[in-house]
Amino acid sequence: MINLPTLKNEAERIAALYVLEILDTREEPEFDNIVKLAAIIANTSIATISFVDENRIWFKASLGVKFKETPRDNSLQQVYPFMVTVPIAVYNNLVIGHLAVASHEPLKLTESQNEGLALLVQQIITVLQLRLPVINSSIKEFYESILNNIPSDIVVFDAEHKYLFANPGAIKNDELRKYIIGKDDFEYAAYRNRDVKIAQERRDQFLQVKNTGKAIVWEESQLNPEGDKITFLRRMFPMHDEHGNFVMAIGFGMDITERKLLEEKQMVIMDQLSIQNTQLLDFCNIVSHNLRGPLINMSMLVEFIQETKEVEEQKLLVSKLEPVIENLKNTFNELVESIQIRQNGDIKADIIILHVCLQEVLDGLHMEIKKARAKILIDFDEAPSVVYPHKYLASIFYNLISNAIKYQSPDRQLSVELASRRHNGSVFLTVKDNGLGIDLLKHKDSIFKIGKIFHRHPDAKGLGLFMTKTQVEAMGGKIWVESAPDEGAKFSIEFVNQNIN
Amino acid sequence: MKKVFLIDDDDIFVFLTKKTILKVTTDIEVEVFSDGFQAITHLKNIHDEKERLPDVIFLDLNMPVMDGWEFLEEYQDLYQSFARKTELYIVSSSISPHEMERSKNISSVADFIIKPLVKEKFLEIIESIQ
Repeated sequence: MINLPTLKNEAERIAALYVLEILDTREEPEFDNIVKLAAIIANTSIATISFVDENRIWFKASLGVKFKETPRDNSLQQVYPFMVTVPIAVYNNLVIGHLAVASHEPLKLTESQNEGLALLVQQIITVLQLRLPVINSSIKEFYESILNNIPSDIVVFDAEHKYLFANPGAIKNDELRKYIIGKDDFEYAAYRNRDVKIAQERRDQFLQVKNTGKAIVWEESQLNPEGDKITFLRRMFPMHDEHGNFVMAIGFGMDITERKLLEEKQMVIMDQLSIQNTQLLDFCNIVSHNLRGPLINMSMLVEFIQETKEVEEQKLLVSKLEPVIENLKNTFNELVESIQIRQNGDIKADIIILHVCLQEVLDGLHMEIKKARAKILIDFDEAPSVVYPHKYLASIFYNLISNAIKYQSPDRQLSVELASRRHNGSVFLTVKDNGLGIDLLKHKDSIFKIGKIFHRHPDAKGLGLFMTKTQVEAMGGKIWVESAPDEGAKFSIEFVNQNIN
Repeated sequence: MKKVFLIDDDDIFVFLTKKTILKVTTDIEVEVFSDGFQAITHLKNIHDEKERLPDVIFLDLNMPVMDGWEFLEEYQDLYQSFARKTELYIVSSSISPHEMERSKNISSVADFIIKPLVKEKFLEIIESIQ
């Protein structure tokens, strides 16, 4: 009886059969010979090799049989009642066809004859498998051409970290790519006179993947031959066999330079937005504290003036209007100026000799300095000049020095030390006094905000440091302060991009 | 006689607010402190003297030396020890929602009044503390 395949694995069976690409091929001596051998072994004149297609039985080779195929309902058995068949099974017992011997006479085979037929079936399978490399090689080419044309670098390592495969994305040069197969990064580094540091890094990463059995991901930046920075996102993951043994590692790298640049741009924009948002909040604060305050006073005064009948009272009230208006005018002017500074991003920067600019400011503050009997110490030797808008620098000097005078300690003679230093393309200006100082624990966040006053003083408006910060930041710089109550204050300003002089 | 503490560094505003208060009632005493530090120091001294403690405190936020927020940090602990009930109102020119929100989280603050302090509002407060 022909052992007809069960329907259960019919789809798998058909797939296995079709992969062999054996159906409807022409006659081949390998199969013809097997059929002849089968007939000799079984001592019959009829033998066939047939494959069971979806709806038919197709004969690859036959002896003593006239037809090329029959319907699947096994009509051969009706013609040849005496018949012995041996299934041709591949993979997990998928029966794709049969070797059959038949006779018009009763057929009884000995054990060794049966064994002979079984061996022939194995031979058929071997011959079928020999056909596979032809198919395999085309699959291999297919996948290799995909891997070779993918715009990423792909490498495969064996369990000893030797290269099994590298695509042109990983190694562009054909010769080098061929050279590296079967070698490791150390041999490659020696061959190309490269630093072994990278090879060691790669080895560490490989061992991590191998030992933990887990994939790793990292970003890596390097300079290309043109000197541009390229960033790769790299991934290495382990492959294990069915017993869980580590067999190889696959390395995968993708050029994410563009994404990285975009990210960096976004970061800059985010920073700018966050700064602008803070400035906006500051402005809200200014408007409510510094502009609303005097306006309320004015409207209340006007209301009282209208209500009162007494001339003397009216005169008193009008006299109180004046300082309020003055205060409002000053605040308003400072605000307008700070807005102009922010908007005037491309204000002209000149080479400013610090000494000269400072002297102008000191001349302007001559009376105050004399009154305060302040000592001014200057050390601009290391960085005698900066590239900066003259107006801003003069204003920065003015605000910091007049602050130092305003908030000097009554217990000691005021000394103000000014110094400039150069570091990493920036110039750092420090203005240090021995005055009242500021309690930074309390005022850390508010020190450079508008309207913040720390000490009682007739001229204190809380605008100076805000303006100074605005002028520093408008040019990309930074300002910060170190201070403690009654220990003076040290303001530091970083002027960036000062490589020119 | 009622007693009011006014903590504000703005002379003109103090002058005008005093005038407003006196229009509502003359049966009142107004003490002025021009920053938070002066006020808290005084309050610490009199915290157990029922007669000298105020009925109402009007507190400005933006002041030198010790501003309104710093004052409230110390006041929060101090007012529990007061010999009498005192209501504290923030009176600020600020219209910032953030500051109003912040004041809501301080239990010693009765309300946030946006300047100016008008007659009607003051009357309402005085009547509420009978």
